[in-house]
Amino acid sequence: MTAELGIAQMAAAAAELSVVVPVLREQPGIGELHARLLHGLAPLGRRIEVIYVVDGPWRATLDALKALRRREGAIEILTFARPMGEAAALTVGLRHASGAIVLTAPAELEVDPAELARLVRALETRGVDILTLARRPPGQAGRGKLERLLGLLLESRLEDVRSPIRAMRARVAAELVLYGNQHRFLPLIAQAQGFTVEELPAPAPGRAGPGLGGASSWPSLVLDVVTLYFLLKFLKKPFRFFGGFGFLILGCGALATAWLVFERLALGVPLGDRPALILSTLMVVLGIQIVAVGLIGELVTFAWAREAKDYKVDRIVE
Amino acid sequence: MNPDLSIIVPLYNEEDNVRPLFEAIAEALAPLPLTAELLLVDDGSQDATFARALELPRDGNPKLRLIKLRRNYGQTAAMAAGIEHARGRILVTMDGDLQNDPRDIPRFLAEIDKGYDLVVGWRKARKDHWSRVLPSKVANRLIGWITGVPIKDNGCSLKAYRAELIKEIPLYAEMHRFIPAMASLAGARIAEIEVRHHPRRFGRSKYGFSRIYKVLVDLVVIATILDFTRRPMRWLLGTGGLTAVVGGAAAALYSSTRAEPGVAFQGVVMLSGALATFLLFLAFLSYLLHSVRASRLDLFRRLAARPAGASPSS
Repeated sequence: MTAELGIAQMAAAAAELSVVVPVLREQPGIGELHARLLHGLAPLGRRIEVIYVVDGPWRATLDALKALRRREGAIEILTFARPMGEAAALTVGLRHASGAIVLTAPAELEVDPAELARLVRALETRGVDILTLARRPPGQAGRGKLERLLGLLLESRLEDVRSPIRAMRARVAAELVLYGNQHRFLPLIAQAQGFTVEELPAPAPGRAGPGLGGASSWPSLVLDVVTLYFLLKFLKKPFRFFGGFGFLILGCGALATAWLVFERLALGVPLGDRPALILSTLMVVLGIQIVAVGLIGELVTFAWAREAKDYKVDRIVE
Repeated sequence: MNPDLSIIVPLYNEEDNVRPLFEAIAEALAPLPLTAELLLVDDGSQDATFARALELPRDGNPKLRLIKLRRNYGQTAAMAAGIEHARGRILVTMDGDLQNDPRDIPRFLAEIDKGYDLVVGWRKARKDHWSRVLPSKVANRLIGWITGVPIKDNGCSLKAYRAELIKEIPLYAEMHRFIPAMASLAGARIAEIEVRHHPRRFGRSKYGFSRIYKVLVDLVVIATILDFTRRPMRWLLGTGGLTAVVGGAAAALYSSTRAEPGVAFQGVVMLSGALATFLLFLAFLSYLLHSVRASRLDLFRRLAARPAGASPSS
């Protein structure tokens, strides 16, 4: 393909399929990746744009991409001056995508690029909003630990929540906003916003490489899951969460204090030097603090309720 | 042109009820000399509810408008969606399960015409199992007692509102139970009338006993918020006063004890002081929030300034 033709193609019409690739570190093989992507998606016969979101000052990769853009055309390069994280990169990339279908792919593509084309076709035939490619690590049957935990907490049935290969419709891409580490839970966040999510199992186990599991430490993962649990379950009613804990601790503390006072008054047990008194009072104080923080949360929810709507309208028929 | 009346019905898995509901409403409205729209809000039903609704005639009176939510969000959210999209001057909400009777609607409108802002239905003879009626009665008593607005039946969905009132009230989570309480604070005049109530014909009831806990927790919240929005300064002064009292009492106790007071006792005094200080700072935070969002939190004062008792101009 000559450069002129590539540019002419891009100018002729908007893309039908956008591919968003967050580039999180220097990628010496970016040119090869681009070729693989285009080759894998070519059978679809769509006008394709590839959006690379370079998350940080990765000069070599950036230069390679610019050279690629001069040669090939339909490439968009977005850069952050300093690393902002994968969630931010994805959000910005999705916002720039103009295709009716948007794919996300990691810069270290572990699967056969032909799978991407299969994913896009499956998305269209199934009529869902998001379809993710569920990877299967070699030697593992069933779901991973994280997926089982999420299944327990959030009734999620997904096999591979963290899969970075996802196909979604334009309306999802236009609406999703991800913070912090939320890109790991993109399907769940989208589900909470009312989009339908399904998975397409990757055909052969074995090629799923380092992206699965090992990338993040357990403490940070647990923290993420707790945050997500709160976000999805209690965002609109924080007091159900805080109030439950707060009243429980407050109640225990009040009972314990009452017992100690009873012992002092009825049985004459000296109170002033009992460490138990500090513990029971501490529980009362802690309980009141948690309850009070929960109430502040509710105040915020109440004050912003009309801007942050509970619901999303799918369509209106008149 | 905007209709006089909007009827809002949230539907969740009510495929068998859609058509009878539509016919009952159309029949009830036929003799009334006003234009009406019917908003059916499909709250993410998994059955054929939306397909059945699409089959209904969309011209004529009432004019049918269908809103499909992306997934199931719950009754309050579905109602809020309907209220947001309603164009009528008077809004009526009711359940989609045919337990409310649309033939009661004209009586609601008559009350609104008398100058009431909010008319609440009271299912005096409820046709439900006691396991639903009892928690509901307890909840109503609690709500009436704590909010100071004794409504016999907060759970009855059949209500009529003046549009400008209900469109200002924030509805989220399960706040629909507290509409009368919030409206009353906004200076609304509230009427309560008896309504007919039918046993369910199709489908299953969707509520359980866990409601009591939710109502209790929501009550704490709503009582606090409603009081706070009315007098934020008082909360600030109240917690500040608490700090002073606790600190003063601790100091007095400390100095009046002849012998050396116990270590644990000293700890308790310090903990109370720490709590009071924490609460004071939290009160500052809430006051800050109030200043930032006065337009939303102060809506009750703003609404109350409206000529609430004025008669509609029809």
